[in-house]
Amino acid sequence: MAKIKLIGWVADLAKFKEKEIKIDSPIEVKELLNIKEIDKIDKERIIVLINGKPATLETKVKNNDNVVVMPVIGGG
Amino acid sequence: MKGWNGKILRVDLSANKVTVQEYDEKLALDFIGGRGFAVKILWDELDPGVDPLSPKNKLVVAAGPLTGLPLPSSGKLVVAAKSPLTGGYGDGNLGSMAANHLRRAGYDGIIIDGAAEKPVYLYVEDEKVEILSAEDLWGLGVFDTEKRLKEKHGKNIGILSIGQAGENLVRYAVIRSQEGRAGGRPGIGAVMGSKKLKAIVIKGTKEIPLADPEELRKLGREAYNDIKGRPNYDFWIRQGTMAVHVWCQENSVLPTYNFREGVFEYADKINGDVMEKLKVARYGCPNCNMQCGNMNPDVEGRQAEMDYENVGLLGSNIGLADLKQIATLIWMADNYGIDTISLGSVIGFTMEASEKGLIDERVEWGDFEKVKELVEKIAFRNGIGDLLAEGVKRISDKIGKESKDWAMHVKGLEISGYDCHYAPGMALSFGTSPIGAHHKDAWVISWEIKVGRDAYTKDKVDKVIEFQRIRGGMFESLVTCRLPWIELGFELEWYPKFLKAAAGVTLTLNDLYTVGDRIYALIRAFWVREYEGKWDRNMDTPPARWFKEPLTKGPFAGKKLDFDGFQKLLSWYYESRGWDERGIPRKETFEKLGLGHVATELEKYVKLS
Repeated sequence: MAKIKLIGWVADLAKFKEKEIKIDSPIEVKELLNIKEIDKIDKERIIVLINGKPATLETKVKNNDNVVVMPVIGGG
Repeated sequence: MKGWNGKILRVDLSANKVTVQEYDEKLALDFIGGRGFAVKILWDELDPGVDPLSPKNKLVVAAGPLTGLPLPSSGKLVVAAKSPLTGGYGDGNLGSMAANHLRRAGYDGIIIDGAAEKPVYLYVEDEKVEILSAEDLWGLGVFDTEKRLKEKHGKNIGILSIGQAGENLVRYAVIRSQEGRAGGRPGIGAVMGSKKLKAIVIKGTKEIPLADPEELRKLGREAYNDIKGRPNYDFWIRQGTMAVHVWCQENSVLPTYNFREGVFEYADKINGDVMEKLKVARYGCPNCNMQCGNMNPDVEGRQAEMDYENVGLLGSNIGLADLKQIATLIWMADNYGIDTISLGSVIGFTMEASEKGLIDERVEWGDFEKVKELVEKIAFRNGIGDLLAEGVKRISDKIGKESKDWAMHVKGLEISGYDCHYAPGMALSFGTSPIGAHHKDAWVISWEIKVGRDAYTKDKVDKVIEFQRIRGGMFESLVTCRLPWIELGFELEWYPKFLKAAAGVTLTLNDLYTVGDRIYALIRAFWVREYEGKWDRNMDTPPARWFKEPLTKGPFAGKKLDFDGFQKLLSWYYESRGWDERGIPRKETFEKLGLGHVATELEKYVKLS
C-alpha cells in the first residue's frame, strides 16, 4: 500500500484528502491525483514529497511510499 | 504626467495649514510610488533621532501609479512613518476605498506633519481640504468611528482611522479601514494618534489621467477574467488565506506556544475547513475579485474577519483552540485598532513569562477570559497593559533574564505567522525584512520545501532577494496587491503592460526590480542613520530560541536553526546586495543606484565601506 495525503486546493480539486492505495506497478503521482484541470495547473505551483523527499508529479510511486502533494502557497 | 497625478497633499496640523506639492517625473520614475515615495520623503525630511511619537515625525499615506485603476486588487495604500515600535523605517499596506478616492481627488499621497492640539480629522474632497474637529469621535472604536463618519459624509467616501489603541499610543497600533482592513504594523496607528488625527476621510470625483484609457480597460477586463479562470480560484474564494493553516501544520511552521513549536495539537479545530463551515460573509478591498476577508461569528455573534495571520497568532501561538473565541479577540483588536500579529506575540510572550515566574501576573496558555481582559488593558494602557502596549522587545528589556531569547521579534517588530526552526531561508527573510520581522517582502517556505529544508545554500539567499524585489519593491511601489500573483499564479508580465497603459512609460520587470533595490538601500540607510554606531548584523538576526531550542513535537522534532549556517546566508545576502559585513550598503552601491547624495549624508553618522 502507498499512502497519499493532499493539502489545500490540491485536495479540493482531487476531491480527497487522504487515501491508501495498493500499487500493482509503479505509477506516476499525477495519475493518483486524477485532477481533471491538471494540465491547466503550472507544475511549479505544486509541491510533491515522497517519503519526505522532494519529488515531481511524474515521479513513480511504489508500495510503502508516503506521498504528500500540496500547493505552492505565497504566504499572504 | 499620466498615470501619476503628480500631486501630494501636505498637511501641517500644528500650523493648521494645507498645501499642495507638485512633483516631477524623476521622482516618479526613480521611486514609482507607495513605499518608494514614503521612504524618500522620510529620509529627506525627518531629522535623525526624532521621537516617533512627537509632532516632528511625519505620517505618509502613499498610492502608486496603478492604485485605484480598474485593475486587479489595485485598491491599496501604503502608510508609513518612523516607527515607534522599532525606531526605524516603518510601513504597511492596506486595502481601502480611501485609495481610490485619494487618486480620484487628484493626489498620489498625503504627508501629515505636526500635531493638532485637540482631536481632529482630515476631510478631503477634491481641492477642498479641511481639518475638522474630531472631539466627538475621540475615544470611539474603529467600527463606530466609520459609522459616524459615513452618517455625516455619506457612504461614498474612503476612510482611514484609528481606534483607542492609536489614541493611547500603543506601539503596535494600526491604521484601519473598511471595517476589516488594517495596515502599519510598526505602530503607524500610534503615530496618527500622537498627531491627534482620528481619521482621514476622502472623496474624489475626478478621472485619473491615463496614457491609454482604452487599452487599460481592455487589459483590466482580460486580467480579471484570467484570475477568475485559475483552477484554485474557487477554493481561494472559500478559504482565502485561511487555507494556509492546514499547510503550516502539515509542514511544522505553525507558530505555537510563543514559537516554541511548529505544530499545534488542536490545529484541526481552528483551520480553514472549520472556518469555511462557520463563515457568514466575505469582505475585501476595492477593485478585487479575489476578496480574502472571511467573516465569521464570534462568541457574541458579532462578525470578525478571520485571516491566517490573525488565527495563527491569536490561536496556536497563545494555546487557544476555539475559532469563535479567536474571532472575539480579533474583533476586539480590530475595533481598538491593534495589530493582531504583534498582539498574539505579546500575549504568547506574556504567557511564557508567567509560566516561568518572570512576571507577577498569572496568564495561562489558552485562557480566553484572561486574554480578553489583557487586550482591553493594552488598548487603554491600564495596569499591566501599559507595559504590554510597548511590544515584546521593550517588555523583555524590562523583565530581563533569559527572556531576550524568546522575545520573538526582529528589529523590534514581532514575527508574523511562520515558525522558522526548520526554515532557514524564511528566517533570512524575517531577518532582512526592511520593517522588522514581517512576511510581506519575501515568503520562501514553499520553495524551500521543494529544494530541501536542511540546506544553507546561496540559492536560498537569491530567492529571498528575488522575492524582496518583486514583493517589497515592485508591488509596494506600484501599490497593488501581490496576492493575485503569489496565490493564484497571475503572471508578473501583466504589470509592465498595466504601467505602460496607465502612465505611457516602458519599464521592464528588471527596471522595476532596480527601483526595488534603490528603495531597499534607502530604507537601510534610514535605519543606519537612526541607529548610527549601534547598527550591526545582529539587527538582522532572528531570536535565539530558533537556534537554541529544537522543536519537540511533530515530524521534525529535534530540528533547529544552525547559527553559523544562518550567518553564512546573511553574509551572502549582504554581498549580493552590495552591502558590507555590517549590513550597510557600500558607497559604490549607493552611487550605482543613483543615491550618491545619500552616501554623503550617511557618512556623517557611520563610516561607509
